[in-house]
Amino acid sequence: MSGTLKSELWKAFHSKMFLLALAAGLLMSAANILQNSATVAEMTENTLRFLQEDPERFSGGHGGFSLFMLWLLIYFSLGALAFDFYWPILAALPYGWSYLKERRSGVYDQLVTRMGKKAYFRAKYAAVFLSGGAVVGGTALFDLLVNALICPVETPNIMDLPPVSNGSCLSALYFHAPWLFCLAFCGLAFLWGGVTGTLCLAVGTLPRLQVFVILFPYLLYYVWNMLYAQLRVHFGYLPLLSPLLLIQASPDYFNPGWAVFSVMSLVALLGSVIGYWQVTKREFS
Amino acid sequence: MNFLKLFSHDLRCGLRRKRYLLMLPIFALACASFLRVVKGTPGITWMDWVFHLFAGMEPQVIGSGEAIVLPLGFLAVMGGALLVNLDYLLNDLTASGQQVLIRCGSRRGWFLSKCLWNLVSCGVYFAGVLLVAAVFCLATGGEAALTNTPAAQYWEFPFTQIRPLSAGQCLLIGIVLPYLTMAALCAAQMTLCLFCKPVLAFLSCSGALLVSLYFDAGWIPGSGAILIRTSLFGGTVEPGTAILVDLALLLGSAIAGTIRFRKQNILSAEE
Repeated sequence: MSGTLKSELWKAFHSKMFLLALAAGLLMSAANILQNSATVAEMTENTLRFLQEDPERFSGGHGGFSLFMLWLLIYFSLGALAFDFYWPILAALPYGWSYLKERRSGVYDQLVTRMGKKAYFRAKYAAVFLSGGAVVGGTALFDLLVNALICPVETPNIMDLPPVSNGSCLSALYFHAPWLFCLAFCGLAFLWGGVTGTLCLAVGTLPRLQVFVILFPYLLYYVWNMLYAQLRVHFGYLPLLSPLLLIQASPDYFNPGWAVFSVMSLVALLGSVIGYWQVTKREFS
Repeated sequence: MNFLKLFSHDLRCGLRRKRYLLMLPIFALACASFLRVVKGTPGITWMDWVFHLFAGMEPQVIGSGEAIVLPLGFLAVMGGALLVNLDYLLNDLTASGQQVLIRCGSRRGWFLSKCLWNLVSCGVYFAGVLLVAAVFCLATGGEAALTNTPAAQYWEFPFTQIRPLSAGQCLLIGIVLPYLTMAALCAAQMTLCLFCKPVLAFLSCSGALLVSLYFDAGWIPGSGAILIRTSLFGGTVEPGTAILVDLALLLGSAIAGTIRFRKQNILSAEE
């Protein structure tokens, strides 16, 4: 690993904003876990009552209230709502703002005279990608592991009306190897967080304040989502093409794997190509 | 520099910004989802378009297993106001605005001028929303009336007790309440910027909006703008209570901000 990259990674993972983003993500996860623990306690009480009242009629199982139905990226809880709505901000918050700050303070000029603009861009891109991915993917993984301590683990059964439908992204895994499904979606959340964070580089030095750099991916995704909603109204059936919702493992609309990876690639392309142009070619205004 | 000069300076600098115009396409997108209702309902009025933008959503029980419903248009219009007003105070604290602050001689006056500017800025923003609604109304052959068409709201909110309202009631829940709620949230955000990072201030205020959508309680700041939940439609939000909450938030923000700003170290002010 080059010294430049090492230095950028150190700055990214030791910044206050990274800790702030991580704390916000964990707070959302904690809200989900608290609600799940209440749901599971109520469900356990009901199960025990059924067993006492009429053990022969009790068919076993948890009626779908298992870990794979209550996880952050699947279930609709207060924490999940906050995460689904704000995750682009969590991705941009850790280090997305750093380019604008370094450009405004003059640190950028110092660094590029020593290492060159391309090397600077590569190191910055990697640091922004990894820090954004770590917060978003880390929140999803943390929620999965802590929920596993509370919620019963049961392979999803089609009779329990699971939220993942046949044909959606990685749905075959969900019904056969749900742990693998959840881990794969944690990986996808990491990638989404990474590519979303790098969109901050695409906006470059256009905003005067850091806060607008941090909010840019969120705004872009929100407007994209509104446009997508209009397209769906006019064209009827459409697979899910909105990055704001594609991070969910069980969105409201059909999310085939090709849609997930196509939209993610498009976002990555936007972040890398425009970001490269902003960092290496565009003069500071 | 007296207060009036300071305020007129804020109006001159703070209202001539392109972002008000940039928001117009977003309002148009929010209006576009109402077009399918217009096609199937005769006699749509301007107030129906305004109601569509500020209706919000019917109460949804969190944890019921239902998929998440996001009222995109409502959140875009209300959240857009937060974004448009987010940086004016910060800009004046971190750049050449500091010169004005030093010359004006009164920190209290400076902050109160920003509070008043916030009210006017929300007014301009709100006028933009109403203007786009009027353009859509006229373009689709609607009437410029101040009363609602129950069939239009029933189409979007089938579980709500929709009834025809008088012009005064429509003005109260379609114009006064959303404007006051918007101004109160923006004022709270501006004050929060003095206490924490601006991104956290934005998250707090937009979070309040989000919470008000999913928790059916009139005292949550933001619920006043959700007109489909008002008691006029059989909901839990009393317009009087919502107005009091908004006024309290406006006043509380101004007082808290003034007290905080008197001791703020502006030399180390940075984002």
